[in-house]
Amino acid sequence: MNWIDFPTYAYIAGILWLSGLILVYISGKKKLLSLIGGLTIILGIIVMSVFITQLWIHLERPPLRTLGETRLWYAVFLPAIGVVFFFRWKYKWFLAYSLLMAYVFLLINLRHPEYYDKTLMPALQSPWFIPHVVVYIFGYAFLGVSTLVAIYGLYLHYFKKMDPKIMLLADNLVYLGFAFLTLGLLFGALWAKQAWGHYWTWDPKETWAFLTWLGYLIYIHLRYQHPKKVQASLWTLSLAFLILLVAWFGVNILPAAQNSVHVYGS
Amino acid sequence: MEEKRIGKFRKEYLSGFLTSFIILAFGIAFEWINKGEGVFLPSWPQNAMIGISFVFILMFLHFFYSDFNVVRWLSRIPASISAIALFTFLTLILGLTQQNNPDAPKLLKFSGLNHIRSSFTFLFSGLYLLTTLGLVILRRFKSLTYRNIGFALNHIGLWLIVLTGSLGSGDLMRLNIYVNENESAIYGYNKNRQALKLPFTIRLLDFNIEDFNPKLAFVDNIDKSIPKEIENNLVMIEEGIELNIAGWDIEVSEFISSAIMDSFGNYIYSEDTIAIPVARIHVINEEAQLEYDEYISCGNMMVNPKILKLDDKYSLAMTLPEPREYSSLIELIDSKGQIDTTKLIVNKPVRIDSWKLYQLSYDERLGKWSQLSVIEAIRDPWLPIIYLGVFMIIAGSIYLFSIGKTPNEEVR
Ligand code: HEM
Repeated sequence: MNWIDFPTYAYIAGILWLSGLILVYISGKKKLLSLIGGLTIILGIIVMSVFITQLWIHLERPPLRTLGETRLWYAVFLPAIGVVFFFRWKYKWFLAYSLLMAYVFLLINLRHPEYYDKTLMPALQSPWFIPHVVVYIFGYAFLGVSTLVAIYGLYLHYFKKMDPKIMLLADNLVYLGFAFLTLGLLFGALWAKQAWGHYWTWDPKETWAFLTWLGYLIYIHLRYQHPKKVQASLWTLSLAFLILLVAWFGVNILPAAQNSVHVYGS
Repeated sequence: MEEKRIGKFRKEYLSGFLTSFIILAFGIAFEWINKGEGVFLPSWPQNAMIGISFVFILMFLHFFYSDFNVVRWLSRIPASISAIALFTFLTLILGLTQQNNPDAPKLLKFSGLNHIRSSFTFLFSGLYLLTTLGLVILRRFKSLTYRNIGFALNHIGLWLIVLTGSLGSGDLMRLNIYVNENESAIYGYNKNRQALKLPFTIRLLDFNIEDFNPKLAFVDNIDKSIPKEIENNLVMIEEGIELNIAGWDIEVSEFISSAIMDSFGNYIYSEDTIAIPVARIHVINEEAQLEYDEYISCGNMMVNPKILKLDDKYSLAMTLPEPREYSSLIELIDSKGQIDTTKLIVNKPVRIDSWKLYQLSYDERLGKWSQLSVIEAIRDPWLPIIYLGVFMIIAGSIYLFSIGKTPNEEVR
């Protein structure tokens, strides 16, 4: 079992998600229909999880190393977050958003198939590897979705009427995402101590992860002090996501990243 | 009423960003006067005294001057945000530019912007952050409610990490130890390549590398690159695998991780220093009607690689194997003369006296045949306080999970 079978799994999951979403949207007041819709989406999540598990077994290492591999995890976690928020708070549009994001990740992987590389450098063979990366993926997934909420909020603010529920959702997502981000940063520090001897070396990837963290820290404090100043908070939230994107994609190409320990591409 | 509040809002943030700007200007001025030499890091016991004095100053301000406007302002969000923003700004420069480049123009060096981490600006910005954060903690920490405990875990934790991380770095010792098999080392080298005597002795009994299998690489004949966009390029070689790469059907019929050629021209397993990894490859391209059955090898530092030329465009080669694990079997004699034999592996540091030893590197040109092990010895006496802060914030994250939204909304 390897990346070669990926399209099959991706298409099955994709179809399940689409049908689930349609059921949820046409259900109206019918509770049973929306429940079946939710369960169909969960089935799609299970299909992707099965693929990840089999890839893991095949690679003989956790599939968390390349960008393509991490995209797989997003394709599982985003719908999962969407479903949880749907069952808990009945956000249909949010479910649709999170599934759309998952589709994007699957699509990128379909367009760029990866070779299945089994090697893993010694420093990465650590019990910290899985918690560190998984916690980060969770954090990024929450924060990524919070950005969509922020953009929607800005749209409402400028063109329609602000709905206080939107800010509540944004806060929920940021608090959860920020907690995961903090854990990711700290697990990374504890791991670095084990592997490289020091917990913080201002490596470019670390620097950018820290910058991302600072961005969301400003949002949390702005919100706390000025709950009425929605506009400033929403712009901060959107800006923080830009930093997050650099931390995720851009670090390899920055001039500061000459000797990063996190650039494994060579 | 509403107008008055907006005025206050403006004023508080204006003060904040003015303060940040003044700090930035002062930092650069100090750096300039000091000719871009950066800040000298105090070590024990000066750093502890500075730390304690700082705590006392904060407490003094809090207990005797807390109704002064400046002190009250410093302990609230607007000042906090300006402090975090300034710190973010400096970190942004750090993250965007190449630091400590010796060829940087003089103007850049003298401003300190090309060595942010050791600049006066960074120091002042950190002080501003610690001052606001410290005063916030003191103001807020009155009663032990659930909310206050969550608040304290995050803020005190961070305060401890920032303070100890910066003050403690003057006491951080990182020494590289170079030791050959069957030899002992009693010196370590710091980053300025000065030799320092170690309080213990390390004897290297054996250095060992285990490799992953090498990978199969499609190489472009003209520019010798390995095109990554080709599907299945760079797959690890294993006996029996079958692949299709760029229209070529490839089968690995045999793989020997370490082989020499015997007198009949066959490859046999050997641990000799001239032994190389070899793979027998069967390749067919139906369309071009080409077929090969050949051995390829990545060679080693004494033997040339064997590459199979497929057509005008591509060749098939083997990459050098990457290490799976490297380790040193060492005998340690600590300062009291006690002897202990252990295996040092990446990710599994070993403690001796107040030091920790890390497997760092080896002679990478020789790879598997390296007789040299590079070990790093690290001493960081402030680490327990950092860990305390880290675990406080981990607990604080759980608090964030549990509230899940801005708490103020329900308060107001
Ligand atoms: C680990 C990092 C941090 C986290 C997770 C965090 C989180 C929070 C949270 C959740 C609140 C809302 C208060 C509550 O929980 O009841 C808060 C308040 C506050 N934080 Fe932070 N914060 C952090 C770092 C900082 C820093 C670096 C500063 C200042 C430089 C700061 C200054 C403040 C201030 C002034 C308040 C308002 C307190 C009050 O008015 O009672 N925080 N913080």
